Amino acid sequence: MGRLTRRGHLGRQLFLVVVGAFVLLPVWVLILVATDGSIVGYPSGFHPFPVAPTLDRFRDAFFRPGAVLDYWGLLRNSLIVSVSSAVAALLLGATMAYAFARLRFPGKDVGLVGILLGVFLPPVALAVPLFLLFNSFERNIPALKEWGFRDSLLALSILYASFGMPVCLWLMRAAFRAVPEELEEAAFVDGATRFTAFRRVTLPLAMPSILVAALIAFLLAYTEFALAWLFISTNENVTLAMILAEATTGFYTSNWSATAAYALLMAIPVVVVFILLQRALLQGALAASDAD
Amino acid sequence: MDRLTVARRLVTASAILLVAIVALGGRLLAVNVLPIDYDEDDYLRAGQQYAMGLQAGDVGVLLRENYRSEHPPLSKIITGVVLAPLPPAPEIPDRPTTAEPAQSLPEPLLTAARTTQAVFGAATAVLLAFVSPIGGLYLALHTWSVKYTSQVMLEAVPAFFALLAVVLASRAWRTVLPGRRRAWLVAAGVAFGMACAGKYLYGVAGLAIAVDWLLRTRTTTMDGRRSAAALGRWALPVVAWLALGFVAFVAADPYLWPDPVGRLGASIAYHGGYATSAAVSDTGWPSWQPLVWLMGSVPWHDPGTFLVTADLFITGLAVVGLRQLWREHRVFALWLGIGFAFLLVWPTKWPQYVLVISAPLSLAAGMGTAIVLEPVRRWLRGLRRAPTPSEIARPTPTPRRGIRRGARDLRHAAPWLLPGAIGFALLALVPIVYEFFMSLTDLRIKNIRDGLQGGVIREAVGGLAGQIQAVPFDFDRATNQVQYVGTELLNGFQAGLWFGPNSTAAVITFSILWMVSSVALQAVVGIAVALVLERPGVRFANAWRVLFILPWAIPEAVGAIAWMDIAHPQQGLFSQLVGGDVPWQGSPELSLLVLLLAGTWMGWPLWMLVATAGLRTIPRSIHEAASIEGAGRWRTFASVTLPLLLPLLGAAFVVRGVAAFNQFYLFWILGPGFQTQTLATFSYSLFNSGSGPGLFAVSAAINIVTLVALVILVAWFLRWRSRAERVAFQ
Repeated sequence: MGRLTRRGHLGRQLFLVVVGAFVLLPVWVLILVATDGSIVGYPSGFHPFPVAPTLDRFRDAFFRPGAVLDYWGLLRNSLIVSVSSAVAALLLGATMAYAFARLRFPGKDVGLVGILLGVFLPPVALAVPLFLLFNSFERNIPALKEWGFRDSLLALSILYASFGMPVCLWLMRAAFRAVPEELEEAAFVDGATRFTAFRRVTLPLAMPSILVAALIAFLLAYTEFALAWLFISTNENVTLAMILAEATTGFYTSNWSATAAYALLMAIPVVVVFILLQRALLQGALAASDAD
Repeated sequence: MDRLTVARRLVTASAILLVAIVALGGRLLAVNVLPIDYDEDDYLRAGQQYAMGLQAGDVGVLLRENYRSEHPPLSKIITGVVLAPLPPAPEIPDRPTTAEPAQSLPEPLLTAARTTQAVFGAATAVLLAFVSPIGGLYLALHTWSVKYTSQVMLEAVPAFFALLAVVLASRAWRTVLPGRRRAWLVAAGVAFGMACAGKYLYGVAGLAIAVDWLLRTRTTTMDGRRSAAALGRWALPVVAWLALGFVAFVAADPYLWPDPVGRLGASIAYHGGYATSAAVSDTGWPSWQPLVWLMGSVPWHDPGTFLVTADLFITGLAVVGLRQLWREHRVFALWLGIGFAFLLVWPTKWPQYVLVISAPLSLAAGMGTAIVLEPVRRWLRGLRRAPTPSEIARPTPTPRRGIRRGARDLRHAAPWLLPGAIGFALLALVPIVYEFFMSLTDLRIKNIRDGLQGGVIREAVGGLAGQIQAVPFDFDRATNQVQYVGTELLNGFQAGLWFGPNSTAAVITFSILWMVSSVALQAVVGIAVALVLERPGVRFANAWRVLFILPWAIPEAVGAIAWMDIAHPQQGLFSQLVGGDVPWQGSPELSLLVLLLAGTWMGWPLWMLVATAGLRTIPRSIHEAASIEGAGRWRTFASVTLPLLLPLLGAAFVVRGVAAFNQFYLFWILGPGFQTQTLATFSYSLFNSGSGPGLFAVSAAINIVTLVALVILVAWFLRWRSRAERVAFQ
């Protein structure tokens, strides 16, 4: 494709500015609510700029006076749960996705739809059965109960991984199918096993989509709170999203301003993670153009 | 005639006979069981007036009277003719159209009038059975059609004539002899006029015939030239035919004869005023309400009123069969399309209006059934068919070898599948099975203790094994023990229960509407932005990407709070811009708009990422090749980029569609009314014992219905997409 003309540049940037305004409008509203000291409870009206500017709400949301964990502690728990569940979802999903994309076996179509059964319902809807399931684990294996399995970050990671895996599987299957089969066959000719071909050829080429899948699994775990409150009762194991739930459940009584400040703080790590991943996304693309 | 033809005709004839028996039987049952409905007293009174006049030998009554003159009189006249020989009864009082249903109506007039309607209703189903026996069977069983053709309404007669007109027109186009064809078309025009004389709305069938006619003759008469003469030659016969229909309409509407212009004008003008009146707007039904009616069976009547309550399946099959309907019976497809579009646009949403399209809908469902059963049919044919000589020479693989090969394939695939499959089985299947068990019981807040201590499994397993008898579900049962209720709840949701101001079908309908519209909007925005950013040389592309990812990084609940701030009815940004309250929560359409705005904001970044990742996987050389061959930018996108993106976009569509179907926090915080609830929020509001009734079993039943609906949707989507992919990669 040819280079852009000056007018082309201008038109594009204009379009992007409009989209950017759409994206930023609610974010700006959140910032307003978070920095406006005059807001008590639910904001009573929209002002384009804060009436009584203050950063106190951010300070409180960060240090959380009177609570067991401050922001860093909550973030640590959130990252442990989100990263481990995303990695688990990717590892479990990747090999399965490859099988669904390339291999032939009976029940493939049924399995592909069946695997989605787990995400067809919101996590809230499956809360009770999952709770009973984890309780029965503890009842049958006393060691787990002693260790506090149901109440642990490990239990949460397992739960979230099970919700993230089907999503990862579907996206990765599509990504693997998009990689030309001839490239793998060339690897077979060179004497590679199927797993080597998968690891050396298909996986790198599909990397951009895999990273997107990882990000989805990460965010799913990072933002979920309804299930978490059912399973976690120890104060040391609370995650960022769970605190958010506390603030939003009492709709008109809670401190909206603090909630908004907290929500903004919660979004920062995700933006950082995305910036880090974006570099890898570009590298994946480079690998793809090398392979041509 | 050979024996095969005879056998085939015999099968068809018996199928039509079966449809006749089912259609008439079901309607006669409904005639005797259905309670008196709104307006039945009006139309019975109208018929009674004609009957009294005819008894006195006064034919002039046809010119003078037309009670409820907003509707043309043909159906009322037919009722009058039937009632005339019966012993007279005191005249039914004149009451306003908004009055409650009458307490009682004189017998045997009521049953006679209802039976007349039922005969026309059954005749419609039989007529459709001549086109397609399965379609006829669906029309025979369609509960909305059964109900409104078994009460003293105006639907049965025009519905019959509308179908007759379309069938006659189709017959005309199958004839080659010009004279014969003209005769069939004239007959169709007369039937079209009669349909209009029964109820104006049924004229859409005539519109469909006209459009179909124009499409048929476009190539032969226009042959490329756009002169006025060619245009006239093309459109004139159709206009003449419509005029013929109008003449037939006036002939069948004797009330018009003394003062055609004045009376017709007043009659039609009434509907404009009525559509904007309080009687209509007070219902609060959304513009997509006709879809809600079609997505469930009639929810008001006792079980046993209808033979089968499966309207949801009929609609589902009709969606599957739409394309085939367009190919094989285009005029029916046009009828369905025009009629449905009119129902969506017209503000009056009474349930009986869906009868305007129930015939083409049933036919489409018949086509859909053939598509769904295609694999079964192929398998049956394979069993029956004698092997061909080449197959005898080279025997086909026996099932045993097939199984062995399958086992070998599975052994190959097992190492790849096992790690994920075990985790999946435990964490996804076990809870779903438990949900299913819950939906078979009456688990509520009252008996939750027993339920969690094994009561649910005890009752469900016992019930499924046949050891425990099902009891009817009862909100107020006093025991603390969980009890087995069988499939009552599941079946109730499938059939559409009346719940609050609308039936549960409203929730299913809105869930699907929401899923399709929100995901489509997100996809369009996301892909467009990805394409713009992917063009080499765009400045600050990475910075824009980081900015655009923000909505996704913000948890759904928080994003919803931000949008609530913007859209708050009294204090939000919108109301400040307008300078007053914006009570969008009261209007289903505005609610959908606000929800779409917020939902798109939340969802589109993911589409941008998926599309970007997909674009990165496409080798750049392909684009270069396309531009060297001189393809324009739009051409390159439509025929190179999009097909290559399709697999990934398809997967994203499924993943995002499922997420949208279950979107919860957005609805929970923005808090729109009942008309715009999804299955997820509905289930939650029943589940949550703090604010709702704590009906865990009902909530579980909704979840199971959701599961089934999504499995069907995804399976259908997969089929459709695998066809599209095959086309793309050939």
